[in-house]
Amino acid sequence: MALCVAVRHSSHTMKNPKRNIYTGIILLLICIGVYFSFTTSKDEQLQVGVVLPITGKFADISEDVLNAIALAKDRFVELSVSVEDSAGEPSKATTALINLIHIKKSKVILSGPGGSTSNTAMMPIALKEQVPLVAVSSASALRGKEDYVFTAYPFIQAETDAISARLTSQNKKTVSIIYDASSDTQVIGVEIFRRSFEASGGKVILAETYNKDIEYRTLTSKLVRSNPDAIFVLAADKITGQFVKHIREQSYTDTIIGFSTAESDIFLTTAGMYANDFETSSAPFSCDRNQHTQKYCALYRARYSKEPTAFGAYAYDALHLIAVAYETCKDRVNIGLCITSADISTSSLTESFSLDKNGDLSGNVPIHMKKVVDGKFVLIR
Amino acid sequence: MSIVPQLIVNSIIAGSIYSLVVLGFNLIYGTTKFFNLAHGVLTTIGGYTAFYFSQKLEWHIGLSIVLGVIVSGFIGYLLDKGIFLQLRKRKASSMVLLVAALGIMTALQAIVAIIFTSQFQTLSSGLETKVYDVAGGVITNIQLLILVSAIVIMFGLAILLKYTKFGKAVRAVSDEETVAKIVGINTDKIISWIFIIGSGIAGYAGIMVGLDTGIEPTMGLALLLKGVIAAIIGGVGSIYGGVLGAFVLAFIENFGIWKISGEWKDAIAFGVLLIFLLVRPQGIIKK
Repeated sequence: MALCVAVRHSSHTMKNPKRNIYTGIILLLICIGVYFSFTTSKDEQLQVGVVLPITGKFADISEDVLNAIALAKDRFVELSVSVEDSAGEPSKATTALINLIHIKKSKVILSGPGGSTSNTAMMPIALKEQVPLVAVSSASALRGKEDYVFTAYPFIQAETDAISARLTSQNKKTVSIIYDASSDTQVIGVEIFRRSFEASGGKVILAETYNKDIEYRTLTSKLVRSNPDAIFVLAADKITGQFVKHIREQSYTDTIIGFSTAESDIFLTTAGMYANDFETSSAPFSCDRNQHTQKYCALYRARYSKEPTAFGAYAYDALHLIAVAYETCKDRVNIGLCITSADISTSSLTESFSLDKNGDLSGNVPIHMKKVVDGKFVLIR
Repeated sequence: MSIVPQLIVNSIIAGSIYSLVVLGFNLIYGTTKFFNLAHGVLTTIGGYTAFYFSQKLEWHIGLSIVLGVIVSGFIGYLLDKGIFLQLRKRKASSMVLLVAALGIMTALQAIVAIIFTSQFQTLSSGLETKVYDVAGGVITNIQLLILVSAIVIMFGLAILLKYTKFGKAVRAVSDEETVAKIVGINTDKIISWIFIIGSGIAGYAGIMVGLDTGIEPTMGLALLLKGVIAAIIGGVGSIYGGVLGAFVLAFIENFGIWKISGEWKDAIAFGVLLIFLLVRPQGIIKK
């Protein structure tokens, strides 16, 4: 600082104006250098690569995740984050991953949510390159991989079990399901649900699949005309909204239930007046839960003028976990060894955020059920 | 209760949507003889323009629909004047025009995504949806509007092309542009008008899809694919053929997934396309 003051003083006293300018610029550069030497240098930051479906069929989900990552970057200054688009496609996801590892020199990768096949496709590369991959994904193929692959989203079984229990408690005996056959998570989710629901005395009478399309009327007609006690929709929020709209338009008045990906403003917008009474399992994130969530939600609303979702909260927690692991280890070669042992459970945004010995979000995550009442998701007590 | 009446209704609704896309597409192809792949993005522009005025500025939905059609038509005009006409003047091949149209589609789609984000939006919020039972199948007021407007636009175009001076000029340009020029027809002006009308219809199709389900920046490609398949099935460049192709495609798709899984819907559509390309490449109605 003293040097800088001296610069200012000397510039007043010197006679040659051109020389003054040059000297001023040089000393200004020195001042800037001195200033940045006291802040975190780039070398001291951990390079974190993020692979997200910013475009494509899961683009809606990524908006909230990107917002959450921006907030996390402001808080965890020891992390330097680079984002690449996977478009929700395995080939683009693997290209993005390779770019991050070899060009951006990322030491840790955060991926998802949206596109379990993309996350699964990245796994062998992460294992081969020995770069930790923290996936905000419930894809079963990623689980149990220990040192280099971590999952930071509840396994789908937690949700399908909760949905099965909810339908059983409502005395629903028959269920028709619609799901995306190209999603590993949804295919496995249907099988787990079927086992759980049929073990409780229920029966899955129709399991219909879909591809992304302009409209889904005939598929929903098949669901409605199979006369089930309930319809279970496994799809992202936007498509779930379209399904619910089509199903209700065909005068189906019984229960329609979905899973946590449906819990968003996009679902409410898409389903419109038909959103009410839709039920969904809900990932354990609520703005009112504690001071951390309140602060996060207040910041989020102030900056983005919208409500945060659980996906963003899990991505934020995952970055928090990486930051704590980095602080603990300072081992930039294999930070993965510290991720499993890092503990943020007391300050995480989502409930019970801790990894088990395999590096996966522990199985005892509390899953709540919610219902849309007057255009809002409310907890079912 | 039988599912068949509902499948028929579903097919009619889908056929109406495809018809709205193929009408504009065939009108442009019939006159200019090139596959205007940018036609798809004009459905997106129509949808988002109506969305902007009705949902952001909270203008009346009727006025927003009119503005959506006008803006799509105007963008279509600009594309013709600014790009396609220039390429035609340089004697660009159909392939060059096709690639240019594809580039335009990609660029405009990206611009829409940048302005409005990739998030799914709906035009129908605030509108009351009424459901009618038609012989065991249900149809909403918006779907009825789509059906009626597809029929009205089809007959409107047919009358325009058959009974007006403008229509005669269009047919002349369509038959032989050079001869049309020799007899004093301003062919560039006629083609511009065709782009305005065709793009306006595309914009209207996007708005109707937005009212029925919703809009997103990539919606144009899916609509265009179905429109092109319908055009090939019915007869490329033919107004009636396009509409017939749209309904044939819709019925085959919807009845095709009655007994098999829904994920096969696109495979069925492209299978039908291949059969027509092999067996009857000129389509059902040859122009």
